Amino acid sequence: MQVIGCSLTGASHERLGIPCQDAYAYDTPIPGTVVMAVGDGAGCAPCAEIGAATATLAAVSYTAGLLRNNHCGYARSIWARTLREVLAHARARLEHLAGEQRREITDFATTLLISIVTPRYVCTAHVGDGAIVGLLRSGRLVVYSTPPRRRYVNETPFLTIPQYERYVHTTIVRRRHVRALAILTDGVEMVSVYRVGNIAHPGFFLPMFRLAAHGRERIPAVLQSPLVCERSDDDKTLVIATL
Amino acid sequence: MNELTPYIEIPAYEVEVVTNNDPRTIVTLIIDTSKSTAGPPNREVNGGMQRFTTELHANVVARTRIEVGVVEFGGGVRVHRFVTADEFRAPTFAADGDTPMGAAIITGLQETKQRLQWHNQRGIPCTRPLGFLLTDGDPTDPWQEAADLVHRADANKDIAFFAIGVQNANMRTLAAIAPPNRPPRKLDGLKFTEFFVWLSVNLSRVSQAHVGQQLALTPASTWAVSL
Repeated sequence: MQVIGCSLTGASHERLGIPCQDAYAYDTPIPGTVVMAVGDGAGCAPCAEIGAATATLAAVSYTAGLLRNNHCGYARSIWARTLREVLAHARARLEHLAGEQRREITDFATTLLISIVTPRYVCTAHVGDGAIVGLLRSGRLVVYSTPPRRRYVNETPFLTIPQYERYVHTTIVRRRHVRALAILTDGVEMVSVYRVGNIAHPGFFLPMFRLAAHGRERIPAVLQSPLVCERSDDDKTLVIATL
Repeated sequence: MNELTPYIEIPAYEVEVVTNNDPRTIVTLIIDTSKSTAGPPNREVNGGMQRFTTELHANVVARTRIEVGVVEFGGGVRVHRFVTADEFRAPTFAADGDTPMGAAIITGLQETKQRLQWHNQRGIPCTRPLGFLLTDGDPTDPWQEAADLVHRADANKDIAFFAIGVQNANMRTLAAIAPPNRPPRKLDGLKFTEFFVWLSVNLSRVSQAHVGQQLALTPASTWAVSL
């Protein structure tokens, strides 16, 4: 199993002198498992990058702890509940942080997407935009995430809103069907997933999955290439696990 | 041999990207071209529109993300349909006729709604549409229904509506038409060019805004009379 991740500052952020507000984290707590998370801090939140980093780290460390404590054998129904617990834990970390810094939790507004690969299942959950894409053994691509219900593109639901649970989307599939998994923020989603029909673009993902397996050092170069940057000037984060 | 190879039959690391996912921002300009705008105001608004076009064309990102539609009213209502900024050509307005502002506002709101629906049906993401009303006069047709529609549409976030009065515009009527939370502004003299430059800068910011970001427009100090 191999995992590669990278986060790159978007041109629009560089122009405005604001840092990369995306974050990612991953861990392989025990052989045969991997936990990955990406977050995209809200452009309008003053501590967005801290929110994204804190939420991804909290989600990964909490889940890695569960897996290390021998929870690999969880049944599907328990994982469904656990996914929501992981998001709640990440949100609680943000609440705690906001309390410590005497700020509002919305100052740390971020999306959060997580993927947990156990020996039996691939479990995913997300709040907000971004995407989670699997490559099946059959060669087919599947988008496990669902675009948030929203009217306008600049009204993404965040983990920090009080009613975030309404926007949580989860999936659990058998691991044996899945060959590789990508988890990404909207800066990459913009150039890789067709908005109409929520369909992954094979022309993007197949080469990227192949690069993740060998030639991984070229992934940041692709994400920084004019081909990608001319169409997406937002921060870009991509984590790929080859199972 | 990499173990993924059997599943991925592609010859090289040629990466392709999705090219039609750009979010759109719909902008509706509702512009008074009645007889009272003849002379300098008409020249200035035409000059301002030309400058607006130049500024939009110069911005590579805004060019494909902004869509502009124009509703002009003067002796009737004429619609210049929505086009993306790169295809936009400033219409040349001739000053003539009365001021059917109420009908023009209703038409502008309908056109905006239809355009938004058109994008929604195709899954193309949009930011909240922006509407700008520019007038130097008083409506010569019933405008109360238009005002109700503006208030409702703005409250429902169907549009963010801005009313701008020029010279002898009836600011009391404009205040009744504008959304309560966004009172009308008065153009400083005939600073149409300054207004359209300000608008193009803001549209450029909106089009390049981080997706998910709510963006406020910059202060109107370059073109508006101080409040």
